[in-house]
Amino acid sequence: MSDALEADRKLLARVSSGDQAAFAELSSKHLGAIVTYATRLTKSRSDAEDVAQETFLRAWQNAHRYEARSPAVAWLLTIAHNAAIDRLRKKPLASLEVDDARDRAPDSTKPSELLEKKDERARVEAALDALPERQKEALLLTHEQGLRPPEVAEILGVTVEAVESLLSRGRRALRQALSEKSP
Amino acid sequence: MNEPLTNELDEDDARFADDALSMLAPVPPSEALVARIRAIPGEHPRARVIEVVFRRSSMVALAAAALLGLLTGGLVDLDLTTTSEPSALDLPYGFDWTNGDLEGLDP
Repeated sequence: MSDALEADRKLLARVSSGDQAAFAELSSKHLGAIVTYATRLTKSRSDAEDVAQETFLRAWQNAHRYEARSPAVAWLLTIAHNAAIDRLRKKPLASLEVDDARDRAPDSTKPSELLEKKDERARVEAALDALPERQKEALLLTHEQGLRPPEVAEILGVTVEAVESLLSRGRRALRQALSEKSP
Repeated sequence: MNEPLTNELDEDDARFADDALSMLAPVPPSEALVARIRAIPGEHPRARVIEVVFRRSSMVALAAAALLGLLTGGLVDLDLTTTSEPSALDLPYGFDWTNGDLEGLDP
């Protein structure tokens, strides 16, 4: 077992014994990743925050189930992924709103740079949203969250080969979409 | 970040995807969310214990209900024996009790 996995195992063991400081450490380490991923999936800031809360509540209640086969962040992302999918299934299509632009960390203080980055970001987001859900999820988990294919496979409930295929098709489609839309 | 890729085109696509997704800004949690997460251990201090206690108390409640059912059944039986009307066992042999006429019978 790698040092990082061993550290995660120890941290989750402390959480499962009711150690509140360990839970605070876990949440401060991974809350940003969970909120980011949930926002990409739900396209709603408030839904993403509810998903994040549910994720950490489940983590607090089920920390003893963490088996240290993958990093803690992958385990948390699995919970968040399932919570977000549940939420999307229950939500009527018409009520899905895109409101994830609020409360973002500013990238630049210069308006021109800010506009340019916003434009680039909007194009990438639009290209991602145009992809089939599975391809989008595989790309986000791999290229934004930095997970390896076996970890992505576990989260998506598919084989590693299926993840590689999703990634290959998703990357190509993303590249094609962004190239076409380039000014 | 990624497993080694065999195909050069795939590698190129992977680098492109890395660059593209790096443009997306991470979404920071709001202060309200941080506070909500921080409150979880306080609001659910004994979540697993409560769950176990609930399961156990459900089993106790089921057992109590079953016991009560047995007792109630017994009481109903007792109640039937103390009815003011005669039971089938008290009726004379050959009595037609479908007409409901119980007059003239000894109590």
